[in-house]
Amino acid sequence: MQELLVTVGTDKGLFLLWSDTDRLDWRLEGPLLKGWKIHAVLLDHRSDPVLYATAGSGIYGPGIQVSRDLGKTWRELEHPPQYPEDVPHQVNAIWCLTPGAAGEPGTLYAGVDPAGLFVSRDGGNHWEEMPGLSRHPSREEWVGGLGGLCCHSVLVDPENPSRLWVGISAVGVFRSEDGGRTWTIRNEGLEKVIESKSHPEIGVCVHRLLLDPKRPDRLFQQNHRGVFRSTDGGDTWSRIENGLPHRFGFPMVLNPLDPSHLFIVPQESDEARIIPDGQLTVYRSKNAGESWHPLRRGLPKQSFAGVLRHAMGVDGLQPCGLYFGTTGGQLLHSRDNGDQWRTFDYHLPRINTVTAYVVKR
Amino acid sequence: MAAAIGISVHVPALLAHCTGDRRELRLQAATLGDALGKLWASHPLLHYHFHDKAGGLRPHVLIFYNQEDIRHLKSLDLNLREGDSLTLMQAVSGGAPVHPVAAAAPSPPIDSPADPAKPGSGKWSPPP
Repeated sequence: MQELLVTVGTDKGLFLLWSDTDRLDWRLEGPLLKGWKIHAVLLDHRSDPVLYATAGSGIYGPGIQVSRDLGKTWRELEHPPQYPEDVPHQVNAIWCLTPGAAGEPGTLYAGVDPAGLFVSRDGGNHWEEMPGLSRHPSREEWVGGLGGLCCHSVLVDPENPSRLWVGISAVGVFRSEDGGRTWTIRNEGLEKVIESKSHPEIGVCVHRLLLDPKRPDRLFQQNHRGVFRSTDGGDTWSRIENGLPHRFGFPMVLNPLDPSHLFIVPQESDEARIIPDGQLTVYRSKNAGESWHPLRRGLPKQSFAGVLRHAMGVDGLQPCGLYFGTTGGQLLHSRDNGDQWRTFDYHLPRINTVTAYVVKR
Repeated sequence: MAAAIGISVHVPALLAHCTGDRRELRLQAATLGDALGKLWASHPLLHYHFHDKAGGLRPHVLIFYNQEDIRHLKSLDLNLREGDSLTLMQAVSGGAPVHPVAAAAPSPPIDSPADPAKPGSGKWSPPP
């Protein structure tokens, strides 16, 4: 039997929504991990399903919680990512968890603030810093954005697990060809937000970075300064903004069954950071970003709350199901590739992350 | 050497999972330093969430030995007495009005509320 699980990580805990694959009737569980700020959630299917949630607190620091029974019980990992003693900063938040390739079932990557990448080879029990990134020569001029100096996107080439990309706010895109040992900056064609003195190639504010799982040379990003695509593994980037009313925004997802289908939620300017005129609108491209079209049917008429970078997910079903949450705690979904939307009846805390998974019971 | 005394330890709700879902623990120790050492050794996640990478207390946590913020003690080499307790809590740093119980408490452990980054600063909540 298949069920659909939508995870909603908020400032005050984790909520789980369950449905059958018709996606009409939903059951809400939560708050789980009550009181903790949930930055990232991952259901790792590569062996027995394991649900991970990065749960942080401005007082007690960040941690990683693990559930092996789909959210019923949780255990905190005793050795979360932490910089070694000789590094002059400590991990403030764990922004993302990314599974390694299918053939590396114990491998997980964690992107953190202050920006760096950690790898675990044993399902999260132990972590190692990848110093080639966090001690990159350009590190001396990395400056964080409004959300901090965060490594929020980590991508693994499904055809070549030694090839990795990361996205760091206000710094840019980096790529590794050797499993994370060394990294090169990949920002050509992107517009800067910060001018660096010694490392002019950084200062690019990537908000969300995606990889086409069927064509791993093709990447997409919602950036502070626009929406971009690369068809050469990040070597060069080009604008894909035809039909968009605003370039600014945070979330971006693609349909894994048809990665030419992209979805974003533009916001009005980096200064205002608000939904334009309260007309909450998802923009969809069906041609890998060549053109974008608005989707408003069923969305609230007056909704000004924004959508954070990880607060949008897709379920991998056909037709494509989409889910997103707002900073005001609204949760919305579509079960037909974005044509029609529905707002759930819940009012949740500020929503940081939304993911969706098909679960076999 | 002083004899070991049983004391109670109160744990914040958010960290109860670090102590087997218990909000109150009992410890046998002779001195305050001994008690803290045993607490951290037996509950490493509690230690992690109360300390920074260098081993100092995180800026916005408080530990009270009875009514005293341990940051204000000259030494942790204090012999424990029957009825003593340790209370672990988060600081309520900055902006909030003083809780009436806190305002009435003797020697309230308040630093400058205007400096939330200073260890031990901010107003406090009454022990549970």
